[in-house]
Amino acid sequence: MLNCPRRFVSFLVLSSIAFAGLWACKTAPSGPASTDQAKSLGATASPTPSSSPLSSVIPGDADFSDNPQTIQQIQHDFDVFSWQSFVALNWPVNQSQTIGSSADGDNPTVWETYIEAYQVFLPNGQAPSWDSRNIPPACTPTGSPAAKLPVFQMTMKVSDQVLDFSQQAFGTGPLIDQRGEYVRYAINLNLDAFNYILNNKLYSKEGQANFANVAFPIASPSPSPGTSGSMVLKTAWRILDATKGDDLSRYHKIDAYVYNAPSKNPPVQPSCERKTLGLVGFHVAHKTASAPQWVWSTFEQVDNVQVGQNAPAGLKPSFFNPDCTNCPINKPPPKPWNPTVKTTPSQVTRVAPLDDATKQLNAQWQGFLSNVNTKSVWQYYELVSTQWPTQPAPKSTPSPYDPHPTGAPAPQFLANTTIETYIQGKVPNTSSSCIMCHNNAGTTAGKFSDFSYLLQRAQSEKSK
Amino acid sequence: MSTDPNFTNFVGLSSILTVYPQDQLAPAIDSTGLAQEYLNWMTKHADPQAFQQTLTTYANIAANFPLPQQPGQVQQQILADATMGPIGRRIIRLWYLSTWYTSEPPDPNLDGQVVSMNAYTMGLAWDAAQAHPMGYSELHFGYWAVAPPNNDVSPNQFPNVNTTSTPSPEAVTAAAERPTALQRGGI
Repeated sequence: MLNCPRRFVSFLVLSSIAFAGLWACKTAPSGPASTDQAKSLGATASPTPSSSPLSSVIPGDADFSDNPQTIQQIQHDFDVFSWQSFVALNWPVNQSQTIGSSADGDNPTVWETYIEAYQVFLPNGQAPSWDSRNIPPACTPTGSPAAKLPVFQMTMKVSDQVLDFSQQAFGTGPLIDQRGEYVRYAINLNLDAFNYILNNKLYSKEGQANFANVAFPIASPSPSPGTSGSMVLKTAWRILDATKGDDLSRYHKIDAYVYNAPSKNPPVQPSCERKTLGLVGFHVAHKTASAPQWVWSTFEQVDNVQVGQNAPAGLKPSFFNPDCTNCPINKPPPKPWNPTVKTTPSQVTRVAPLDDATKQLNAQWQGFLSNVNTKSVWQYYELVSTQWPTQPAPKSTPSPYDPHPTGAPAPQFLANTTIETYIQGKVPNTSSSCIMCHNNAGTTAGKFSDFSYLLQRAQSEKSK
Repeated sequence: MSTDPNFTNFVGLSSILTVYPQDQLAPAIDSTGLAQEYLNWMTKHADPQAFQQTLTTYANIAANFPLPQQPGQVQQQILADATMGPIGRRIIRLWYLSTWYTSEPPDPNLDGQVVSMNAYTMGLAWDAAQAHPMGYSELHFGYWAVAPPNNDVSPNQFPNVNTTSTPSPEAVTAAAERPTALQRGGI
């Protein structure tokens, strides 16, 4: 028996035991110049204390120069990469400033200049442009007093941002904060990802049908400047109101249009309101040389499910009511889901706690941020974890035949309580795992789309 | 990876019994830790004396016989032994079927417990059959539309086992392209 290839071993095993028993037995418990380019070309990190690692340069990959040998050591390197990315992406648009250095500790960020997904996949498969605008009519109250404020001119793209999504992955339901307001989401692409879509005409169904093998680019090898590799960001926001107990000094904030799309069931009329929103969840997917399955970093505001550090007396978590003992945990609100109507707050807990190493790293980087400015809003964000492939495929082009194309991700599961609220856990193929989920992403032509679901949004040119 | 001698011996013995390479059963950078889970399971559920005797016997084989002879010695000294044979076969069943049987020979109508969800999805039977568990595939979206490759690479992946077949050129290529745990830039 031992002198046989494994197929024969398998045959012997399978023939000795009814294979059906497996299921019967029990289970034990060409674009414009990029912001990235400008950053890389400039390569002049704005003034920060000399010992601070805070930098405006987006890393192209994790730094393995410490020669990590264990999964914990490699995890650490990827977690540092996540924090470096978080800081660089949230660096002020005005590159001469430092993150969080303004009087209120907040700043318009680099990533908010990235194009939003709804601006890429346009009606009739039109070609997008980096500066294209496709604002719903309900959101174009030109001449409104707020739009004329000079402060919004400098961050116009941010202030005109439309948050049009209120649903989570797989339609598991919306997230409702403790005031009954729906959390809103946005997806942004950096220029590398956008240019790849644009140059290969992947913004339309016809373009995708004519394209053989989707493979988003990674960063150019150092020292060649100009790219940071493909990045896609997904962010979660809640509506802030200082008069109702929100501490705005603990959030990165934007002034944004909140758009409610029309719906027949439940009946919803299109509407749009200008609101102040606070960042509560921050996903970054970044394709790198060491991770063809992309690196998946996820951050949260520290007061999401429990009150974080330096909290003023009386502050309550955004998504958990400590006084409610019988609220269903991590359950979506009852239907109908109408974002124009306040509803039952979600009672959210974190299923997989942050590990000690991550907590330690968070405290370190939060310290770097508060050293810049004790009022920095960025000190109130924490890394949940970073998912990366422990066995990355050796091929630069993904193939359906890679034996383990998901690369055996670590950690095996990863969830952000504001973005994957209802699919936290440790059940394979059911609980949230960035790589395992996005491995199922395809184009509108039925081909693998390199871990990005965005291409599914493409529309047909034939409806012109 | 664990430096526990029991772990080292368990993985080495498992490799010979399953004809899968050690670095696939217990990768140096292991995100699921299935080998450790199986060792823990065996330690808890198998007869302690028989299990320890099996590991000790394998350790002696590994120390005293060249690699090509070790599979034959495992067959003679462990699988053919009345006490250790059932232990060896249960290890094979764990790896391939993810299932623990207390009966010998096993009767799936009366017995059998899947060790864990991870064990179920990572059962070697799926890989050997070029299949995947129902509802759980690691292959990229759309794989079903393309003919499967000829990737019977066991003769190349496990050169210490005498094989009766000659690998095809495709198998050689597939084996060469398989990733290893540390095929990562910088590490």
